[in-house]
Amino acid sequence: MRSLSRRRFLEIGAATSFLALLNERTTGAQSTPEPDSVVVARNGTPSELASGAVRSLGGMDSFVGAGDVVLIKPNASFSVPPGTGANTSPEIASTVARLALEAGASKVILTDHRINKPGPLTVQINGLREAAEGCGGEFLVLQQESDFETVDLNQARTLTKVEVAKAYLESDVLINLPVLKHHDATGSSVGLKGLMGLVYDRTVFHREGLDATIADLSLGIRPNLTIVDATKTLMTNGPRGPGEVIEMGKVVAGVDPVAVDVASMALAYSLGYQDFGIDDRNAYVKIAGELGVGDSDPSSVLARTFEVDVKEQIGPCPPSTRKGAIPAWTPYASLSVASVALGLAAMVYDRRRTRDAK
Amino acid sequence: MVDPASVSPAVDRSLLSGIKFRYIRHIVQAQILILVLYALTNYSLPIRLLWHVDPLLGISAALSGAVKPAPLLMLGAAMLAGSVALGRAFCGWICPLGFVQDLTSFGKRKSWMPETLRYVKYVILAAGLIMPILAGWTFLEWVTPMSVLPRALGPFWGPYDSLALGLVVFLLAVLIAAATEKRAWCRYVCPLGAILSLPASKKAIGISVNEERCIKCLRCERACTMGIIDIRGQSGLRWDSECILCLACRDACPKNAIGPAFRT
Amino acid sequence: MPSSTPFDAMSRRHFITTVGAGAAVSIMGASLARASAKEPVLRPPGAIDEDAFLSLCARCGRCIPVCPNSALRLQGPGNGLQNLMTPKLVPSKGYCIMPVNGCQNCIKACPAKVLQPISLEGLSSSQFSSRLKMGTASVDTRICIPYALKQPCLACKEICPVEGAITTKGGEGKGPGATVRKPVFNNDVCVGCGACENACPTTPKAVTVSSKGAKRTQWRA
Repeated sequence: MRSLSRRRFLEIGAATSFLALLNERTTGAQSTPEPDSVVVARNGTPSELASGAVRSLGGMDSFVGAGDVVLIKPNASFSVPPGTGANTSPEIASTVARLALEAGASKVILTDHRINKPGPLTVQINGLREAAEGCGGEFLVLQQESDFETVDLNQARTLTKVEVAKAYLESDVLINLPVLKHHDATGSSVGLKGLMGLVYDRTVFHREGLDATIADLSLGIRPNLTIVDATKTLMTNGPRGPGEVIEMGKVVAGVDPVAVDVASMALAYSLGYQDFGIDDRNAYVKIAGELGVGDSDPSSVLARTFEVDVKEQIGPCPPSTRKGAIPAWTPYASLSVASVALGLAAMVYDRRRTRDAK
Repeated sequence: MVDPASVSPAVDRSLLSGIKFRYIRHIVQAQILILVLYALTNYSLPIRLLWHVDPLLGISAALSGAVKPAPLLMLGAAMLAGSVALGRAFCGWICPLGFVQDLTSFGKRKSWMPETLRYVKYVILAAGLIMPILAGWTFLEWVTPMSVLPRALGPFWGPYDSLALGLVVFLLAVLIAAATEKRAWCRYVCPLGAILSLPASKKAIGISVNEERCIKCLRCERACTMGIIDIRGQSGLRWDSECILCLACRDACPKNAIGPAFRT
Repeated sequence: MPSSTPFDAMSRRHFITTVGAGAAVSIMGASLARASAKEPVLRPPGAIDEDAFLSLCARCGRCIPVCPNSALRLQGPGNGLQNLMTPKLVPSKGYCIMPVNGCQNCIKACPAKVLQPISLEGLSSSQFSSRLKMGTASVDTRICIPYALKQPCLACKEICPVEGAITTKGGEGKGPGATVRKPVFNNDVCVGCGACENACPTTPKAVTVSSKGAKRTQWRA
């Protein structure tokens, strides 16, 4: 065995026992984890997992009130089809959207300031626009600076100001819906990293130090609920892939965004993928813990984590039945008809006028 | 000079008297312009044909020696052949840059720019044909109207930067010039008009004056968009080849004394 | 006697003057053109070889508005008269999405066929460069954040749609800065779409795409 530093040993040890302990406590959907627990749902289809996880935390009703505007932030950055692990699965996105609507939301908006452009095409390719619209929600493609507003981040160490999506500031509930995946630059990307999708200028993050700025951002954007898609997980060559995709078949959820990140990363780390560990990699999680955003200590997170075996079922929404788009030539055809009518009318009017004059 | 007695009227006047050709012509021009606008963002339309009929593109590409653009040449040659019969009718009925100039040319302003300016378009044409032979590169594409208009309208439909602004300003300059002197671009600058005018002397349809009916009111002179009618001097056109067959003269004449006629 | 064309009204002397003026303009213009040309231009996808391109391109600007990413612009007067009003790919404004979804908007819009169709059917993305090659990307390691500051970035690799065009090296060590991975650009695989330059967060851009190594197609009628 190679020599490991003591800290590293503890990390790995915690993660391995994590999995072992999880396998021991299989609570059914009825037994109650505390509301501030971290829930790991397993043994179901993606939509069953998502709805089961939310139910274990008290149901969507405890997060969404009647008439609320709910903003859901999936990973929708990359123009790759679903199933590659680079984006949130459309099935889970549409399930969560539907749960929010059933809990009484007046409006459900999915959004992400995606990386690949153009935005509308990207969300078409990765299936997330369809997922939003099929359930009666909408996908808001964030494009210009005017979609964002500057907020001050108190207690931030590095990133004191940031331009945040107005949709977040105007919403009542934020549900962060990231996908667990590998990330070349930071190690892995889950909920905290995913919040970058609500920010206008990401280049600042790269310049000022990714870990410090991501942690500072989590001071400003507080999701009410974080649901992590760990069904098909991209283990290498993230964040876009293509890389090794593992069917982990789990969904992790919780109110504490830092704890949820820790638990999700531990799941992947325990399968042997070093990049998901929290040491020099994924340092932003620790910094966020230091800033007081949540609990970044693996053993205390472990103590609050419950695995849930999901049996019940709420299906995703049917594919949307939008009206077919009007073909692009219609305005020009009407312009053409109008010009002919106008010309003929002018001609007739002129003829009548000169005839009368004669 | 055409002997009026040998001319048979091109149209039955009694049937169409009172109809201003202007409206029919503008309807046709509007359809072409709408087609060009549609083609700005809808690539699926094969409006390429409209470009391929432009003989300047094919000829300058062939002269530069870099390519042998046979299809461009063929359609362009067809257009030149057409101008033998119809003269610069393309300019009057099809060209979208001509249409937008027509829209800004109101009133019956007299021509005030000197006649010698008409030679400028032939200088531009000559330069545009000699340049590819001498230096192997072409520039007629900058000034052919089929490129000038879509290029200047593109910034309204697509991305916008300082060059785009320059193109719009250029189009505005053309339109302002047309407001002060009808169809100034067509008269003095357009190389496509220049090359179409060369075979035009043989054209089959011309403008003729019926001297018995003519009362020398000179309304046709003022109405002529190309400024080429000369009633007092010769009762006809100064230059047959410059006529774009817009038929403004016919519309203006109170006595139906001037109009299109077939040459026999 | 009315003349058919202003030409006929001219005497032979005037005719020679006109043609001579035309020739003079040509010579002046030609020398101006060659003198002021600077760098080779990064062309839209499917561009034919540069001589034929300059000869045939109608400078009509139709390719500019149809690009879904607004990646194309018309060249201004600063790069030689022969390039004036020809289209170029500007990665800092937008990048070509043909490697993502096979988009051929500019190619279909071109009336002069200076942009020829490219089919990426049946190719894996690492093979795209055998048919689509607008240019190639390269990195200035004095500005690139992982190289220069030992901090993580890889915005270029995140967005790159061509598998294997950007790979990483390093990052397996321990201690501060040692886990940082640096981007490596593989010219053979890169198609020159410009996504990397578009995403690069530094000013000036550490990653730039140039037309070096571009593969041009033959003009087909």
